[in-house]
Amino acid sequence: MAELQTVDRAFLENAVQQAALLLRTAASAFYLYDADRNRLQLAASRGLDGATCDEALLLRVCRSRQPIIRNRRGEWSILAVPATWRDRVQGVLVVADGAERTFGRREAEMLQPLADLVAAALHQAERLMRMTAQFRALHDIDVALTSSLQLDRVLNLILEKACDLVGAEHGSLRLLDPAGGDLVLKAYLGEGWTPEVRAYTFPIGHGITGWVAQHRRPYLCRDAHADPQNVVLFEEMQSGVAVPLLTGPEGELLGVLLLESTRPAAFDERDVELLEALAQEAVIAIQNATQHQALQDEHERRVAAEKWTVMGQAATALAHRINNLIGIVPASAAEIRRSLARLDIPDAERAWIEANLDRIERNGRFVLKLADGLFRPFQETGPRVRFNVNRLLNEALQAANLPAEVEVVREFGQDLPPLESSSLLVDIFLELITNARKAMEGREHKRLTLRTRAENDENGLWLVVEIGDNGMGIPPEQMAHLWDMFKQSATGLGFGLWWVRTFIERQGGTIRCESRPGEGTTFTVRLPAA
Amino acid sequence: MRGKILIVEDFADWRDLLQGLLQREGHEVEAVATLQEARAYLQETTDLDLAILDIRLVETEEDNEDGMRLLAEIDAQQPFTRVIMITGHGTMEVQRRAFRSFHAFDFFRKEEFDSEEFRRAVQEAVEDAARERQAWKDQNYIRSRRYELWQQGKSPYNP
Repeated sequence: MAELQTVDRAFLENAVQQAALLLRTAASAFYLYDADRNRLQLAASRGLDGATCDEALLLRVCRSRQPIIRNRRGEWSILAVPATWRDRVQGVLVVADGAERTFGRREAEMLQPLADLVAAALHQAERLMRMTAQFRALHDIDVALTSSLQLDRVLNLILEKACDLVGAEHGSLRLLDPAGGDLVLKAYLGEGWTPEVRAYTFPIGHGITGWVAQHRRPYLCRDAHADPQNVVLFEEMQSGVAVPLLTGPEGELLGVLLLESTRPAAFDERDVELLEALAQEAVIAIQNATQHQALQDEHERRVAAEKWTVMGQAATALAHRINNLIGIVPASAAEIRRSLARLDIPDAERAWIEANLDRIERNGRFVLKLADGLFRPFQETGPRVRFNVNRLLNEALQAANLPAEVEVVREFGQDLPPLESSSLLVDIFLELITNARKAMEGREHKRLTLRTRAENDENGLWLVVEIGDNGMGIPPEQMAHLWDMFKQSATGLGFGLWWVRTFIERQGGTIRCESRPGEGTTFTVRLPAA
Repeated sequence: MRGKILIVEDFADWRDLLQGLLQREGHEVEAVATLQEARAYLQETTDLDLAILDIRLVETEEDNEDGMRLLAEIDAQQPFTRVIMITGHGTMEVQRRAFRSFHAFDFFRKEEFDSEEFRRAVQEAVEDAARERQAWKDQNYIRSRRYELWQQGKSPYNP
């Protein structure tokens, strides 16, 4: 029902006056009808002087949707007609006159168009009000969506607000993966989103979501279990509505928003309209967030690159300095030793001098090795070279010279994109393979697994290399210090994994280690494809 | 064999060490610190057997490669002079360039400097330079002799 406070009073009073003028009656009135509560409310009147109509009579008009005429001796004569718009009774228009007046069918027919005109106007007012309310809701959503530039947060907000807007209990937001062509789940709401359900991706054209993606049109599903388009992921959902997220003048598909309800036929065309409006806001918010993310990623990459450049310059300068200063220590010691050999001095004295020379030389060499290890990942390694990662791994494998007892399992991806990196990369793989061999010492059956594949995400194409062993694994307490610079090790200086990681990060990649004590360790290297 | 050797090294300790080492082997050694001194010396020396060049001659200039420049100049102008490069922080790249583009005789890194190896390399370089110079002289002698013989009508080509 149109609320009394939202109705234009002046309009109703005018209509009431028109009714009285039309039929030349002493009094007239308009009552608003509340169908849900079956009640009437006086909205405008003229000439009634405080008298009220028989409410039972007016309610009968509303229910029957037929005019009622009452001409009774000694009472006011009354004509009441329903104000109807598209089968919906909005109210009753009443005219009354002295007892000498008798209303007939002709008067009823004259009054009816005016009543219906009022109903139409009320309906329009109501519609306008609802639209204003929806506009406000959308505006609120717009404000909420632009409050965040974090993509995950924006996607969840869109879904949340969409559910609120149309009163859905369940929802999902899927974005199109431009590379794979699938609709990938990005946000979800409601119960029952098990990992299996979440992992389900809709190919274009499959399910309601797929249909919407294919036709780039909304889809209204009134009965989820009878709908042939539907792929039932949630048994208890009875109906659903889905709209596409479209961008640009061509209406390019960005994703699909699907909302579901446990009630049958919970959504109608109005919800579709609303969701389409929401989708427009959503697309803008998603694009903003995506752009922001890209800028941020780019910024981070630039900062990282700059950091490496600065560190590289400092490291090279320092390495040069140290090599110059300390390199002379063993060289000079060797000269003394040479001269010493020609001198004739007591044996005890000679031994003492040689022991001191040993100490000088040993420590000098240690400092040089330390500097070498420290600066290795920063070394200017010459121009970047394009590699086939599988071939590179085979090269590293050859260099590792593994004993025959180690079974090598190669699970290489085919047709992988090339990799662009410093030529030191082969040393990285060699180091990881050597580590794996050491970890498997003492195992009856030694198995080294090498896997390669390509991977796609919002930052582009990646090459993934896994180097796994079935060795003893790394105990959790060691795991925490795995990448430390001076990690204790029986052999070497303890630079191993530190320099591996530093080098890989410098190439714009990442390295991850997963280990199960007693079962083995796998290192996963991700590097950007060329 | 004793040779005539030039050392170009900005680091005084290395310069003194290398000079002392080679003088004790009996070589005639001149040691300078800068590109300019080296050029001045090379201008007035025609019988240099070996130059030992540090790649970076100004410690504070990170991309200084004056040693490489000297190497290129000697390679182009002094056909009988051998060159041994030394560096405090040499990459494979620099090393390859020294060998392939400018025909360096040998390459030493200060962080793993082996003085015996160095002595041997110096010896070989000096001998190599001397041998080539001698071969050139011999060839020149033969050429001029051939002319004389021809003049006297005793050439095998002019019976």
